[in-house]
Amino acid sequence: MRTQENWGELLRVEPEFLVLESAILSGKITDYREIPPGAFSWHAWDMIPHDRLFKIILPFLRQQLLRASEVMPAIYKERLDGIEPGAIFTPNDWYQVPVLVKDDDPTHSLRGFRAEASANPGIMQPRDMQAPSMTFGSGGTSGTHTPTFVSIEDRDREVQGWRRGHDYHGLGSGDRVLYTYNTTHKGGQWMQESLWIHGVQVNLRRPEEGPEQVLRNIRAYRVNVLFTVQQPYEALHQQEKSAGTNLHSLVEASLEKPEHRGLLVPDMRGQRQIDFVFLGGFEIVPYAIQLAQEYLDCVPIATLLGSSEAIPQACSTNPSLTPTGTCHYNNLHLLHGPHYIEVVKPMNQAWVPVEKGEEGLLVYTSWARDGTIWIRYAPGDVATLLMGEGECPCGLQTPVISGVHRKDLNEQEALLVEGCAAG
Amino acid sequence: MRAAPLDKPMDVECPLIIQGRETLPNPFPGKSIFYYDYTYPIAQAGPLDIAQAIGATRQADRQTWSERRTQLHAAADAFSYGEKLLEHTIRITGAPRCVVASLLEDIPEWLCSVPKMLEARLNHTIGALPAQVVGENAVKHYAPLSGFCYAVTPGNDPRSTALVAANACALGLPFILAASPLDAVAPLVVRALIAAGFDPRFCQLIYFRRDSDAARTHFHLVDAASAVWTFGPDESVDRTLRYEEKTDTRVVDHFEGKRVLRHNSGNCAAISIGPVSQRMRTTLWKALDFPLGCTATKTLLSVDAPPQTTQDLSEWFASKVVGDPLDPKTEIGYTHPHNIDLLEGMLEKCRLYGTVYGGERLNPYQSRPALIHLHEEYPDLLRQEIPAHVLTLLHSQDVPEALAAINRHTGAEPRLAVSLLGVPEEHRREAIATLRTHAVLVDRPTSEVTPSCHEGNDYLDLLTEGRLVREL
Repeated sequence: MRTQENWGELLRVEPEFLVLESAILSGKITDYREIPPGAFSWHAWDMIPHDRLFKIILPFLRQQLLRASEVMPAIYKERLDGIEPGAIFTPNDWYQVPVLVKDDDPTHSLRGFRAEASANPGIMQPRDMQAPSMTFGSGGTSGTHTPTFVSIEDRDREVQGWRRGHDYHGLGSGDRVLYTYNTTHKGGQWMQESLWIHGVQVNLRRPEEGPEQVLRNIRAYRVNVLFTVQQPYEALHQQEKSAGTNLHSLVEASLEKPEHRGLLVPDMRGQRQIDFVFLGGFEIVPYAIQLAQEYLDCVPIATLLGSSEAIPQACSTNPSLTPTGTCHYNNLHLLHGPHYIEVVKPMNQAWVPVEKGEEGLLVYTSWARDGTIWIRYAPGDVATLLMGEGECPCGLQTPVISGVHRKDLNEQEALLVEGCAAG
Repeated sequence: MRAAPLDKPMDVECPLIIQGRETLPNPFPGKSIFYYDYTYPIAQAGPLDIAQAIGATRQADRQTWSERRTQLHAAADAFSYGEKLLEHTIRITGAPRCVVASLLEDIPEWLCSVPKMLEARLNHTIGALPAQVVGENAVKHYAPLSGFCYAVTPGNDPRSTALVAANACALGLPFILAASPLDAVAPLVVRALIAAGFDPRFCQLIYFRRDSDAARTHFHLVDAASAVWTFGPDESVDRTLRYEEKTDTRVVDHFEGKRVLRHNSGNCAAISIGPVSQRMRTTLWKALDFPLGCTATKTLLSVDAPPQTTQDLSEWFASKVVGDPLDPKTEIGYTHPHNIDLLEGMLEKCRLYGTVYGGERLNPYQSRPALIHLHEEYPDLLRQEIPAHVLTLLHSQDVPEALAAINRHTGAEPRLAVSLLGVPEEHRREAIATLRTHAVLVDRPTSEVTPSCHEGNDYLDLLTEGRLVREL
């Protein structure tokens, strides 16, 4: 695991990034496909100011705007009517691009696409997509889910992007991870891939393995990092939802069988094999924090926000690496690349960034994507801008958001219990 | 006298005590059916509390037999309660102050008497294990059962925890006790045990709301335990604590493979010879004053009683002071309305079979004590145990007839106890040989519990692994 002392090694703009930046700004690179997937693992994306980032991704925003209208006409032709990609030069120009929503939002006169996509899922696949694709469904808790088509290269870009999250969580070569996620979900698959290419030893939980066997595996494989799911405390009372392997059940099994102490729950000497716990899902729920504090001797925990549509979006850091940082638990640094993440509010005809302390819609634009193109797509999440760029003491430059939640809170719990986080 | 009024009476609450740590997580309110504005907090054990308790028992230091019996005596000395606890128990049980105080005084007595009774039997040791000489060169030694005991106590008797704890502690079996939400005495017993030196992991106390969600918690504990201690009729224990319906066709028997301790007898009776003397009445009243308890005498078979016996007994009953149980002068407190309804219904039917004295309902929670003098045997009454102040009187020609009547109206489970009051030696032997009962008390009330052997349960056998050792 990375230590506090070498956290600073991550806070850099890689020389390779400078080369890439120069190539883009000089016009040598005009197509996102010319950016090597490995570039998305560079920390520079999180170390440059927004103005600089925008200039770098602008050609690709334009590229996708143009592509979207042409290759996904059912979704974008009408919605982007009047938007001239070539006329976008500044962030203010970009803010005129409308927000895309899945379900109708009469308040803002936004028409959703769920019904059309449900009737014909193929409209979500760009017509120019030559490479084989895989689809991942999302948004099923509010109705029929809609697909996101991704190519192998899209996968490569996203898993490389996730590696930055692993770095900010302190993972590195020599670490041994066990994850209990459902690998039929995109998050579970990408997790496996990104960990693997990040250079850690990866162990996965077989579906038939319960909490006790997971603990035995942690011991047998000398695992020091656990990726697992969480449940809100209220869901524990619903037996069918609380079954399975999650943080609670792992703690429970550890408490009940003394031979499992020292793995996740500290032993009598206060020692614990697990150095870090990743908790996926919509947020780190209060119950999980309570478990970590009461039973796990405050084991560092952190999360990374992502969805079937876009990974990564934001992440918190390992608190033991950034003790002075604000970016702990549910305070998340935005992670741009391969997606552009914004928190916006309506202002006249535009959707502009919120001010510090304000809550707004979380939107993302997949500027480096072969598959389903998202242009300022708002899946229904809201967030509050906690800190502006450069303000977090941890040293990462991107803004910090907090309080990410679904506009519909009922949907939030359903997602936490039944969504991609469900183990 | 162990009641110790505190300068600052502690508020009554029902905390979890796990590994010696007291917590009150997610408390739910306990209420009294008799005092509508009285509430107190009861901890709700969550899944991790249960897991901690289970894990703790698995690491508990069982100590030696010698250490445990010394510590039980120390726990008896350490046990104390304050005025608030006394009043709380009155409010919850409805029993009057004098009765509740007497019950609470039994607790240290039981904590001491269990090791004493066992010492008398375990007259040998093998290493650190207690043993009993059973024959020439033959010794039976008793190793504690592996695992732990999970006990579910009822709320009708504040001594339940002491009964479980005294035996489990003496015999070296760690326990997790799920106390009734009505029982606020349990924490005091557990605290006394820990103060006396028992490993805090040995004696764990939990509470949880006994509603539809409780089944999962309960069955998890049953499955983890090696012994299950239950109270109550077999029918309700099996329905609520033993069997779990998984599907329409699949039922799981969670008791399979476990040592199961059942306490399902009751309906105590007494036989008296001649006039019911003052001494007999004093003895009888001790067995009548707490009708909620399984040890209450319900039937008196009177042999060779003079004609005015019924009149004397009815006047004696009528003299009992009925009132607010908190009033020190009260002898008859509150009873659950359902039990009074039951009594009223039975009294109505009994008028066809005998004479009813007293029994008038005074309010939803009280009635005057009832004496039913049966002129002929009425099986429905003689076989039923009504948890209210009622005594059925039946005259018998002789002792054999009285014994036959008692046995005739005993169900599948033997009675908990029968008192022999003024019964001469020659009839006592016959009674002991023929009565279908777990205990025979000679000139003692049926309410005198032998805590090391209650309701036919020999805890020495039930809570240990006995092994016979023969040497040349």
